[in-house]
Amino acid sequence: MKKTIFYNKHKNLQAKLVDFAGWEMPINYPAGIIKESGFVRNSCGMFDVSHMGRVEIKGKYATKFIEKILPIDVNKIKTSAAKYTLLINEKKEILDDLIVYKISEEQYLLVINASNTSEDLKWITKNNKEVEILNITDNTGMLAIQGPEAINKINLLSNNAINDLGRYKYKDIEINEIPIFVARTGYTGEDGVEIIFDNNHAEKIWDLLSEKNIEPCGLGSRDLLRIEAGLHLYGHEINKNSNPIDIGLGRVLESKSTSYINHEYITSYDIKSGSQSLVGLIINDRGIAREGNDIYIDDKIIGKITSGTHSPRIKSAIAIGKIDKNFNNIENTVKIKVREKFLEAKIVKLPFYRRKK
Amino acid sequence: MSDVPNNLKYSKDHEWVQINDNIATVGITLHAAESLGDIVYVDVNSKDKELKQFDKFGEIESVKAVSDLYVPLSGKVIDINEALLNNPEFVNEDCYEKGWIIKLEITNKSDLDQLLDPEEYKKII
Repeated sequence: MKKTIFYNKHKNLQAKLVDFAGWEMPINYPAGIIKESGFVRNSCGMFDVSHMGRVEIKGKYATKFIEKILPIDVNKIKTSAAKYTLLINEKKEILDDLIVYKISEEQYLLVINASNTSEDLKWITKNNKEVEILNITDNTGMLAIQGPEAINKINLLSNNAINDLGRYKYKDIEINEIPIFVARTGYTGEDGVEIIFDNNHAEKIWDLLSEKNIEPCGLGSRDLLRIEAGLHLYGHEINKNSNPIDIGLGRVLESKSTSYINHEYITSYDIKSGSQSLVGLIINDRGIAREGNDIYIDDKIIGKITSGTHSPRIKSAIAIGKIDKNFNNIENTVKIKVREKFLEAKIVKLPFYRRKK
Repeated sequence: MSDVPNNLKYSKDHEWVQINDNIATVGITLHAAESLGDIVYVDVNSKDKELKQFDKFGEIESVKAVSDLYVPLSGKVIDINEALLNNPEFVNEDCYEKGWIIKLEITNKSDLDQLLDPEEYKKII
């Protein structure tokens, strides 16, 4: 199994380590998933996300290449900005969801899912004639620092370097003379940043963040937080054959360029006629509905659970489900078959949790 | 190494049992609680039922996973820890005291031969 640059930190902190997409990653530390999710909601937590793929696209034709492979409008994305988008192949299959950062007209950075990194790279490389594609995953570390106190803590460490950093923008800053890429992005529903740095500085950065009482949090709490925030996870809410409209991601298909590989597809009638929708479910009974459980109205199966957990904020089990659009009425009561029993649940609008601004 | 009190007997399914005359108090071990992580539901649907050794008596669910609970001895479920049903985190906080789950009236003392003593249990965790 692959190990991130923070593996020894996790070991020393007595994290519970699990196999995640071929990486040995902390699912939680001794504090536990629920407490760790509370650090992020109430103060500040940090996640090792070094397993995520980091790929640089470089060269004179970098913008043209991005225009070809991603459904973003390259005229709209400014330098120093980030954008959430989808990687869709010529068979209309969604290969991944990702964040693209525009460094300059001639350089972009893609941050992709660990589980899809090799497939993504294969497809991107296959379509490349014009740019340099550089996988920097193994030479760099990445941490997500999330929570209402995250910005303030990074400012304290960097002489207020990110005071002026807007949402979905990034900046190159220094912490203790260590160069760091800081983006105001995240996957928890809280304010915060994601930072990337050279492997050589990883341990020092971890220590500096720990000294500021930023609590280590594992992938278990990360999943809980993203479900509360109604955020998609590839392999759960997003699959190869998902219709982007069905899963609420029509907004990312913004490209009008005929150079985009899927120009015809994303402007076709096909993609506008989704039959399903993603909904939130709050479970009234005791028990967690989990991925794959069938959702019923009366005796009819109307969909399946894509993710489920217990929310300490909502104080009950919550889930995301993909259901037949015709039944997507807020306040509709449904039943979810969990092992041999049925749990009653109410359909709600996503997200379950929205941070106070 | 997880705490394994000396005054208890253990099942291979990680339940502990404390015997007081013909009454057995049952819970799950610290090792089990730590593996499950944050417990969010404990469900027992076997009040007043006569169960055979290793029959299912309920379910315990954490954020990560759900597990069946089995009686370590044959007997009748005579009491359920109601406080625990409303505060499932007791299992994580104190699995051997506050986190007890049920009490059984034992029907067959020889079932005890099927259980592990603390030293034996330590070897399987």
